[in-house]
Amino acid sequence: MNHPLAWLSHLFKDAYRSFVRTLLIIGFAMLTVLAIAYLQHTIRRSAAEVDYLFDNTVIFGEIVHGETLDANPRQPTMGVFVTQRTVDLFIDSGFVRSIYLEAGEPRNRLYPHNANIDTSTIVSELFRMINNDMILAINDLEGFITRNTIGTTAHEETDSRFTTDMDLVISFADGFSYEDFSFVASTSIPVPIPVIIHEHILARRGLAIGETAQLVSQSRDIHDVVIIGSYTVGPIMSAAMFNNDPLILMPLDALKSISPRDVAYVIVEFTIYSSFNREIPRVREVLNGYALRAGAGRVAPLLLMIYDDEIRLVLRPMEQTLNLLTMLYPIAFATLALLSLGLAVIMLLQRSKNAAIFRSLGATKLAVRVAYAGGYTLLCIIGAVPGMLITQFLLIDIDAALLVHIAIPFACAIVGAVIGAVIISARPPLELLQVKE
Amino acid sequence: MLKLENVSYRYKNSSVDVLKNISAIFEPGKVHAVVGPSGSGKTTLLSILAGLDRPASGNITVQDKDMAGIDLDQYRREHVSMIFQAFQLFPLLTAVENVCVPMQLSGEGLNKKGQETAKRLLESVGIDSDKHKRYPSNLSGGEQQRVAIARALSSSAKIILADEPTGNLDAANGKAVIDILKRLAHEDGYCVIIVTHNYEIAEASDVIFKMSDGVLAVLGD
Repeated sequence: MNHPLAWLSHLFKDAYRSFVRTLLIIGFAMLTVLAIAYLQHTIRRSAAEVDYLFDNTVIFGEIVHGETLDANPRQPTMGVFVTQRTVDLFIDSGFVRSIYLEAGEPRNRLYPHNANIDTSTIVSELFRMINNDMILAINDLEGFITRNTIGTTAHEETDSRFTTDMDLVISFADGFSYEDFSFVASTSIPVPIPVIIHEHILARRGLAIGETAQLVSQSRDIHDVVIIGSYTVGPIMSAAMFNNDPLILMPLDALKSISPRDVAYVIVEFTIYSSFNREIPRVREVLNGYALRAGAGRVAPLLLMIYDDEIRLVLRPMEQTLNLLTMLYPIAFATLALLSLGLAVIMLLQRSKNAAIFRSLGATKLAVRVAYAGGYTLLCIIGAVPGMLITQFLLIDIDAALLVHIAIPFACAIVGAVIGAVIISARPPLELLQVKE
Repeated sequence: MLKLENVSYRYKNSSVDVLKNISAIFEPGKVHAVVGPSGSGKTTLLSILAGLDRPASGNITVQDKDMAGIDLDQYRREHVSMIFQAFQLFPLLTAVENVCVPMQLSGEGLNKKGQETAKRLLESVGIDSDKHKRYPSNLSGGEQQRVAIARALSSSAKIILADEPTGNLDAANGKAVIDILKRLAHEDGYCVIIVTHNYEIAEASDVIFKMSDGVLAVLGD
């Protein structure tokens, strides 16, 4: 059969007449391709998902009262005064992507623009918190609105706690908008401070939006303000802000420019750059160092809260699972490669007697080796092709890297087939064909 | 004709000759028996005669050609055919397909002519046409050995080497096989060499060689 067609005819008959053996070889080749492709795809997709989640998860944090043991530590507690130095350290750490700050200044009173003001009398009352207007300075008006907006309209309930209007609503005067809520101090030309005032204060002080007014502080200074808008909230929202006191909302930079002493913050909330999501423990350690140092807070000790549950409870386990899969893959891959080689050798050894008969009939060693190794390789290809097609059907991209991974067990199968073919053709035929006495 | 002159053989890494200066002539038209006990060197002689190995020393000529100058694979395809005690048919090929294999090894047998030749050879050894497409597992021992003989006849070889051809057969089938081999020798001019330890078969042969401790001697003619 030094005629290729004769060998092909023999191999074809051998293949379809030993159906189970053939099915095993083809099936193993197909399943090997599928297994490798699926494992690779799963690892890649999982890695991409984990990377995406790490890169896009926003981790929030805040500085709260160090002695707060409330069920809701997010409830601002009077006495949480974070110094500017602490906030600067947080910002300069390079970890903080954005920061939301609120600072309070309780002892102030508004007057209409043309009112006569007796500062000596006022300051005494302000010191005793009589008839005062509280300033809430914020660095992000939209952030403030978001924090104080539920965003849904409650259904009507008999419980008086619930109303149909729970959101903070800002009404701007004509010609004013969110963009006007900003302040840049100037020593040459006094700039009126833009403020947004609770409707109750407007009513109490006889003011209207769009007007200018005078703000008297406990340091006896009088500052011009322009009322760019007013706001209202539902009762439940009012309860979230400073014991129901209506507030004067002021840009933080404005308060810093008029306050006689360093501003201390009652709310410090921040987000962390996603690039540090994998290093939250280190971030926590550094920021904790700033929050716990002496003088970090003006009145009470501080507590740093970083809300990384999503990372700890979801992403880290995902990452560990991925790491496990990544670690197991080489073992599975090596196992498949060795099985491919071993199966090929075993399947070829099953044809030892046939090879010996061929040799006794005059077939050359080379012809026997090429025929049997080639026949096995052909069966592997017949199995690998549907495996690749199914892989494509499952929307798994077959790229060069995956092809290499698939090719290696296939190459091992060929090596095994060659080894087997060499063994069966090298053994003396009479050893296999003679009946031992 | 197959002629051995002072043929000796020893296995690799062995200092002992398994075949010692064997000289013999195996002639066409005769049945030759080589008898001897186990370990006498019959298998080794069989390997040499079958072209599965070359002698360490001495000459073997086949049809007046020195075997040293012939490729062993070619020798097995063209000069000698083997019949085994355990028949050694391809289990996944039918009787006809088994007989076609030696022809295919020589580049023939793929066409209808080869199939017809195979069928004719099967019928010549007593395998009826209704059994031509049966697999060996569906044939009796005697029938399998006849198929093996037909396969041996399908090549161009004129030397038939039979290794215990009746070892797995009952007396009736064994006699039938020996009769076929005798007919091939006496009527068709084949050189038949039977290697056996069965002296009854040897006595039915034309020439008897005795193998003892690596030495071959003619017992009777």
